[in-house]
Amino acid sequence: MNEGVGAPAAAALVTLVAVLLAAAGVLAIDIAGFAGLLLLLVGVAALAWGRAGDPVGAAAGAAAPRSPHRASDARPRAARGDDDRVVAGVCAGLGRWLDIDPPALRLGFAWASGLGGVGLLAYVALAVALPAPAGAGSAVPRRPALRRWTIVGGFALLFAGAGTLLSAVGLAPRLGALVVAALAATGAGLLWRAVAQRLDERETPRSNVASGARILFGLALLAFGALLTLRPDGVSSLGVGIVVAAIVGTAAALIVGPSLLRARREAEAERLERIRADERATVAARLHDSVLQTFALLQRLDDASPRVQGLARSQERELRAWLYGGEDPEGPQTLASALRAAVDEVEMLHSVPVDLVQPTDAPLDGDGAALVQAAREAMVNAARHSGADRISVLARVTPTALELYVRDRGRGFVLAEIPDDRRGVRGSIVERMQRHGGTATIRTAPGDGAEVELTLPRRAEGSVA
Amino acid sequence: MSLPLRRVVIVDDHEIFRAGLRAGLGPTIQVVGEAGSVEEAVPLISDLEPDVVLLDVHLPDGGGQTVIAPVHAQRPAVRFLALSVSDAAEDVVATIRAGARGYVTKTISAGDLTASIHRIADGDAVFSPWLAGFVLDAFGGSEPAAQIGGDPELDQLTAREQEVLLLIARGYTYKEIAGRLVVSVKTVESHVSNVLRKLQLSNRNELTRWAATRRMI
Repeated sequence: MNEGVGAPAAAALVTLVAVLLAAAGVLAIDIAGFAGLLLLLVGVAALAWGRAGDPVGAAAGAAAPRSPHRASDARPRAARGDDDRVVAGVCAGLGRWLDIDPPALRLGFAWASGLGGVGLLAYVALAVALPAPAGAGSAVPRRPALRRWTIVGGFALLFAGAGTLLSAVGLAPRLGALVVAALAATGAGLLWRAVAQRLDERETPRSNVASGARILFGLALLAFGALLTLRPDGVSSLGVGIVVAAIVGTAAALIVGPSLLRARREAEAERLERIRADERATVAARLHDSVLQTFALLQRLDDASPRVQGLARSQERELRAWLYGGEDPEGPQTLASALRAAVDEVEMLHSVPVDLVQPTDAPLDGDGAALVQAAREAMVNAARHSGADRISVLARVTPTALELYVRDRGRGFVLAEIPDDRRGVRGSIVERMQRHGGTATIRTAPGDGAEVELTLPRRAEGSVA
Repeated sequence: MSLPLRRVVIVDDHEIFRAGLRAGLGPTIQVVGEAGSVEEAVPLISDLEPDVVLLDVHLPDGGGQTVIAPVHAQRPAVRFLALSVSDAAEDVVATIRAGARGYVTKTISAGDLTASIHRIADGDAVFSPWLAGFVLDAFGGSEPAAQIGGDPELDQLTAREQEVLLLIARGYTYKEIAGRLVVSVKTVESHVSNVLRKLQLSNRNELTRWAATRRMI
């Protein structure tokens, strides 16, 4: 008793002994009662020493273990504690769940154990009924073994002392009541755990049989306890009938109830999903009739500026992809969405309309991204140098390859005459495709426009619709 | 070259868009009538008997295909060119299979639209790049040969037809395709008409299935 417990503790002990002696005098207890008091005293001392080495946070109760749960803002599920447990972790777990200091609970159990062992039985029942801790990994380390067992011993002495003291003053409960209480506590624990599990939607349905069995077993224990209570007064057939009816009814409610509740929740979610789909279809029809038509008209007007027309085109394409393509803007990029983004960019930067045709989509990997980059470079080239008033792009997904065609009807060029400083064609298109295992073919002649043909062999993966 | 005057009816429920279509059609196209619904369109077309009907794929009281059947029953000579802004491939294919001789998007330039109308009036088929790309994909997939009621001639595209479609999808005009493949424009036109016939008559499961899952992106 040297660390953490100094002079104040010694003074407290002396005071306590004095108070106990005075109490013994007042209660006029015999030698057995006094022995009980002494046991209590030793128990308290053992507890004090056992806890003396705890970290500051733990000494102040379960503040430290509790805080991670507060930080995560989620109510912990009832389970046995792990990191700050003393015996089975019942008090630590319950304390965290109920937001009560575990030491206070421990004292409560000790006191109840003094009533002839009720608390002890309840503790065992809870240790059986409560699920194992969800996961280890708290910052608070477990106490060293010696201190842990000192605490256990302290509680045991407290139980024994309290029991001896109580029997000395004639307050010991009857054994029958103890058994009933133990049965009831175990039954209630099992029921609680099973029902909590059933209400928890994250649990998979395969636990249904186990939890049903747990409910029945819990109810049977409760019933047995109830019958034992009734027995001394003579079990009337009416009484048994009522108990059995109550048990069957409760069992049915507990087993079927959560399933019904869950089914209702699912039906509700489904209904909401359907409403959302309907709404989306309505919005799509409405936008189709108004906004898309306007975009299409804008692109046909002779007096609209190329910039406005480009904007109308890219907006139309974007809206269409969202309305009909079922594309998830937050989802991963696909060949179609990446190519469309590239086309929009080229149209905006160079004010040249690009007719994009891509009947089939495919997942996008690194090579596919390079293909799109090469196509973008080809479009930029056509927009900058060809003088064509529009560019045609076709993306094809065949079982064996991704094919991209970028065509313009501009002035064309002689491939061999491209200056070396124009990196676009050679570096960004031809060499890039080669690096990624594909090919690039350029077909052009002066006055005859140009077409860049990009091919990328596919790995074994399916296309997406 | 001198083109004959073509009489055209526009069926589209958007008045402003009909005005936009009308504006750029040029002197060789005469718009003789306009309708905004299936109900209006059928008697009007039967009455006027135009050369070509520009038909919106989507109308408030039904798809464009519901106009074609009753008109063709009375006036088999009237030809339809389907037009849409963004409808599902399903609707486009349904309209073509109902008898339309071609399909273009509404963003088509006035000059291209005029040329398409003349081509349709001459009995040829008009495929937009998108439709060509779609048909190529739809017919391209392997299909079990022994399909019940299937006609192998209708269910397959010839290598030449595939070449022509691929070039259309890439943005080539018929004339450019003819130059590229060293054939006459008439030959290209007959290839496209053959593809149209297969598209209209083939029993390929894939056509409908593909159409149902594809969108005009």
